[in-house]
Amino acid sequence: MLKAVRTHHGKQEIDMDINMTWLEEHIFHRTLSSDDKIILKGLIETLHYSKGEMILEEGQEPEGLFVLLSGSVLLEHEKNGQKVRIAKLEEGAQFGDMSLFEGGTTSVSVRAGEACVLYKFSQKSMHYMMEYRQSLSNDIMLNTIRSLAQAIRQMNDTQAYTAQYMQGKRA
Amino acid sequence: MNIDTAWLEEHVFHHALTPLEQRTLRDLVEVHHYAKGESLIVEQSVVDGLLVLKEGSVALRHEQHGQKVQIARLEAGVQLGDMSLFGGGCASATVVALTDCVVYQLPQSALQYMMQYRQSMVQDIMRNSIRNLSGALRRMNDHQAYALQYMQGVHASC
Repeated sequence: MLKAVRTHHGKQEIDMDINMTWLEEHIFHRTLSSDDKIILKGLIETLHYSKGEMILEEGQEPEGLFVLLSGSVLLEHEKNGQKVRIAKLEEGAQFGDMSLFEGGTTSVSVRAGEACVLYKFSQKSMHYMMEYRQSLSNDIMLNTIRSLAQAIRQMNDTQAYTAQYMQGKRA
Repeated sequence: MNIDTAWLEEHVFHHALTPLEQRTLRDLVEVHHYAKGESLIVEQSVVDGLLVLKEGSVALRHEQHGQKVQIARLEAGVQLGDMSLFGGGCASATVVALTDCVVYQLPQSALQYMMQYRQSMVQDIMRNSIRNLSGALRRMNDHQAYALQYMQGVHASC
């Protein structure tokens, strides 16, 4: 159910019901209490992006944690003055978490690969949960570790393949 | 052997621990020594808890098409085993000592105790895991972009 429309960095931001069942399944991996759900409704923003729109720019300050509810995004990393596409993320993926928890700037640019809907936990929301709702922030941190671990496992494979390829080419 | 809690404060917890927390670590942390060439973790095995490299350096080796490929070299201060501990699954790479190493290990049972009675310490360990894994992924992203450019360049010149 739509409640209001306002702008967020030039993008359409629509207040709509937050899909708690989806969040339980993809982020928290448990059933949330009624109290948790009320808190989350007050902390999450829903953002819509069209295909090709930039969501995060490499090198920018952390904005918060983004969760991909639907659609897909492309990760691009600048190397030798060129933007190289390094990954595509699908429904359920998290991003923005590395700079949020680590304190650095954003390490890649994130662009909508197709029309997508995102849930955003702002930095302020995350700090609130860490202070007053530690069970929620612990679940998010655990999911962040899972998500990073999965990305690293995939990268291990890719890196081993490219190392073999480059050694073969050199030989 | 004495546990260097000041070192753990600096490299894992990133703040001063209370005397009770320091005692908890002295009670729970195990110290292990590995000689150069020994494996700390074997790919696809189950890791018992969390390992922190106190001294020395290690290589990460990942098996691809039947060959072990070195994918990273890590130095003292790094956490190991957190991917399978928090993320589930088996070890994603073999970890081999490149020099003699000293390792602090928090076994699974110790972490379960901390999750129940020392939650803020577990939160610090999870934050450190995120920092560690994020750092690794940033380096991998950079390497991946370089490798893709290299491979495209090679293809272009063929």
